Amino acid sequence: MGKETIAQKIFTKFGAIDSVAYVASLFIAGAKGIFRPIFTMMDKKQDPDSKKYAATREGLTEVIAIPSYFVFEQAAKKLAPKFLMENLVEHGTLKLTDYRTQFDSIIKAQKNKSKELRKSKSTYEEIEVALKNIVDTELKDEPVQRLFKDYKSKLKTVNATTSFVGVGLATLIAIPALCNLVMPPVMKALKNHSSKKNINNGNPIKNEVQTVTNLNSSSNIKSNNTNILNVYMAAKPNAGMKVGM
Amino acid sequence: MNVMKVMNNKTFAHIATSTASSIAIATLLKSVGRPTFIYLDKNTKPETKKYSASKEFFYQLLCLGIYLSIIPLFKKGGYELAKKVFKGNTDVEKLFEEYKDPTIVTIKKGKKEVKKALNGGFEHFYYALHKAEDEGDVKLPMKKINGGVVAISNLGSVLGLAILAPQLSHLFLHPIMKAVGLDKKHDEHKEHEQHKLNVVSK
Repeated sequence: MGKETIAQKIFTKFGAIDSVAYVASLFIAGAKGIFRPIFTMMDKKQDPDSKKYAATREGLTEVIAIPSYFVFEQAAKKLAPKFLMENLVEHGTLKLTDYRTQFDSIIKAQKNKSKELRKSKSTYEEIEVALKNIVDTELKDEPVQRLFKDYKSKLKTVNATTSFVGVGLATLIAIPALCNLVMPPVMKALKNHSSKKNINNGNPIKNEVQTVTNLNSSSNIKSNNTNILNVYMAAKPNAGMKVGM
Repeated sequence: MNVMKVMNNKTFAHIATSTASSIAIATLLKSVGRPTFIYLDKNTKPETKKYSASKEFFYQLLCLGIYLSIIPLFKKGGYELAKKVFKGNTDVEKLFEEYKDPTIVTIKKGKKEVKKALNGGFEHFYYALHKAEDEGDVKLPMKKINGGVVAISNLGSVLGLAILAPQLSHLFLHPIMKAVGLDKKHDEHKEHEQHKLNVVSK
């Protein structure tokens, strides 16, 4: 067959992915974390401070998203076997409950063998042959082999659906909730740092207000709680100074 | 809704293993989840929350529209590219030999069952792939070709959602917000805040 090209290796690797939604979400979050801040900083209609602020916020969102997806994916992997309906995996008189422990140890042996062969740079064809040999050695009866095949197929189904539900929950709830918690103190700290810099450079506080009112209109998510915070922080020193009047 | 039945459902599994379907649904979830949590933010004024949540909602819908319009091209492109990449691979070529004969399949359109002829090509490959997935018998050549579809779909997802959507949102989002009467209010709100600060700083 000859040596595999890089493109062939890449496509074969992508073909072996079980958690498609998880991998795609990671790629998208990574790309958004890089490109959205770049596009924001390239926007000539915005003043530098508000661009920095919007870009930081956009980057932070994806920094929160990536580990969230990872955590939910790991949880999904652990929980997936519990969702398998054993009554769906039956052949004649053979029931999954009688064989599940043995099947799980075969699957574990296959995973270890696959890992070992990938380290030694074996091709996917060689790996498939080795995995089939494990099954042929452990399970002599053909009906039991068919039951095992069905079990693996149903397990793949619940792995895929559980992984997708994990990505969905991260997207719908975890990431926006974490953004609500993490963003305000981080953006406040950045804004404090920026304000101190401006004061030290002799720049009037008015610039902070200008920054707030000229925010990038295409930015999404948490512009506004920090918007108001900036307005308040900019006003507060002035208000404080005016109290003596 | 029986959770166990849903998690073991083959159709749901096909959606979960399709880059296009799963990312489209994730984008739809973002259009619901993010505005909701903006509204739940207690640190922000109601008008600001309304503006921000609405903008986020429309932005995600815009992303979804862009994504759904470009992803079929990338899926089919991935399939055609994979065929070229694996040209000369005897196992893959044997696979495409099987698709040369037309296959009559029965598909469900709503409540009716309709017969359809598949004559090779992307649709035929996908029918065969789903059938093999259901039987737990996806052979390696099929995985390789599907790998091409997945890889190029991922590329399309990144291009559509991380590059194209932010650029196009500049064009479409502002008129949409104006049309629903929110942009004007936000401008008025900004003017009001500016006025307040101007008064304080004097």
